[in-house]
Amino acid sequence: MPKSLMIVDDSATMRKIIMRTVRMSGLEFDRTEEAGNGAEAIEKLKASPVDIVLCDINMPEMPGTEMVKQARQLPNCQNTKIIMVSTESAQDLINSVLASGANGYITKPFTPEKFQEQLAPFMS
Amino acid sequence: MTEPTVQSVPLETMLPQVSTLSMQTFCEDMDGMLGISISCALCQAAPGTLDRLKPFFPKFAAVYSVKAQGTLSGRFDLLLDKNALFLLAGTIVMLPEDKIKEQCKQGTLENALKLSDTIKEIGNLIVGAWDRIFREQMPGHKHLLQTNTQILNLWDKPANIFGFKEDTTCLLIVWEMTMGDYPPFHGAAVFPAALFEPPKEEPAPAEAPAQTPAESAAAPAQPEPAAVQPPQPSEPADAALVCPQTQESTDPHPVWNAIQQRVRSAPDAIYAAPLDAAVLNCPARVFMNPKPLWLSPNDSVETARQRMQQNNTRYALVEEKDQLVGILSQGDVQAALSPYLRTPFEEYRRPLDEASLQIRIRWFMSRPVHTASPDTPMWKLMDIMCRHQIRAVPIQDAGGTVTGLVTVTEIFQTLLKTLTGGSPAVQPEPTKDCIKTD
Repeated sequence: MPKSLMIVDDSATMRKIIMRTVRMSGLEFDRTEEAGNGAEAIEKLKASPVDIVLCDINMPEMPGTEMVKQARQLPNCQNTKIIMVSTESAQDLINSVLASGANGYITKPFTPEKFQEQLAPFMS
Repeated sequence: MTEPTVQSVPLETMLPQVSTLSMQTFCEDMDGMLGISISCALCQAAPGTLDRLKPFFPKFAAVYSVKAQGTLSGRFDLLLDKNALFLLAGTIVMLPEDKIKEQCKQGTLENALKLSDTIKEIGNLIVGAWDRIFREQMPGHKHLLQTNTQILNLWDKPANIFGFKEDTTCLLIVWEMTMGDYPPFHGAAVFPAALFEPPKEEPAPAEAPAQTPAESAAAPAQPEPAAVQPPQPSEPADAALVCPQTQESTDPHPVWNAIQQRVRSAPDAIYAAPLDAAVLNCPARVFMNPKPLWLSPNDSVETARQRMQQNNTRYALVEEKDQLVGILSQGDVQAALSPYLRTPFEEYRRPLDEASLQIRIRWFMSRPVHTASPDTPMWKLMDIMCRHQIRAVPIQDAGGTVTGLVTVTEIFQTLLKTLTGGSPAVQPEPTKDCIKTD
């Protein structure tokens, strides 16, 4: 079944790195999108929802946690899987992010195996 | 109020090990995320002033300012040289290999600035790796935060870049890193001496204890000139301290550098030169030291120093489970030791300085080790030494057994014997094709 992916990170380089690592994991998407912050991601999701979102937490304008909350309010994003990607590894933060509506959490540095492990269940 | 720390080793002694582990972790992160295999070897760890970095960072570089909280409290800086910027950033944005190599050779500051977003992100990755290792290795560590990224020529106004005077004493740690067959590059950490000052209490003036000589020597505001003066370059302590020389700099090693230039520019021409061909083709097995000193990675600095002195050697090979796992130079040992253990600074010595004698050599030995086969000709060994900026190459046979060690001393002795007529047992190799090197 074709899948679509959106990568949300304020660093264009990190978006490239994530995209590259996802490709190295062997996962294939028929459509990929990028957004530089949470607000831009919400606008893009409104226009065209995706199956999976990989989202940074610390971003200007709208942090990742706020983006998750707003995305969950969008009727067409109810089934979108949102995975947070961050260097922060404090369990309290991870719990709060998951409680706000995220489906998973990947800490940096990530590896192709980590993406495979987290995303593969959502690919079927 | 600052939290008490439980470390038993002074910060300045601990930092070279922890920082090297952090930099190696960054390399592993890059490998995990991007499939970029980078090796990192400690090149220098010593107190000194910023000008000691000039040979490693002759052109522009990236300076990542890091705010540390916890045991290490204050600002320090991480540096990546020009080659590092083009190599790492170019690889991340997937530039073609030819383009990356071209930029390493001819890239300008303007070219680097176009990659500033990527270069900044590399800083995030480095600081992220460092933060993880500091949490694991340094009791009392709280957080590292990248606060600024500058891409510029370090030597225009270094005081403005680093935020302290040029003659300020710092702990300078330099690494040489290699990635594939690209030219090696350097990274460094600059820790101002002020970071290592104990937290200042505010006792009543009448009860204020007199400053000890050791504290006085450690204070950056009134540094002991002799204590902070870097060694003169005329006689480097060892291979690890040898820096890439800029063409403009005064050349303290004309003979060595002339050989380097010749080998770098045209090894084939040297091979073909009739005057030198015989000696330069001499295989390593003829002139190597067949009985090098061996140490264990768990040996202490004190043991290494004693055994090097007893064996009258400047290099030792490090073995673990019958495998060559590292190489150690006298300079590595000196750099690992607290400077206050050296005779001129004896009067400033603190009890904790003795602790640096117990550091295990596995923390600062050089690795990976560049080796060569017993049939490798002298010119090829010189080429290996030049390309990797090393002065000692273990000789390893096809079965993996180390049969000897060649250092610059063996090479010079052989060359001198030939030049002065005291001919060594030189057997010219008939053709280059039959010579196997690794």
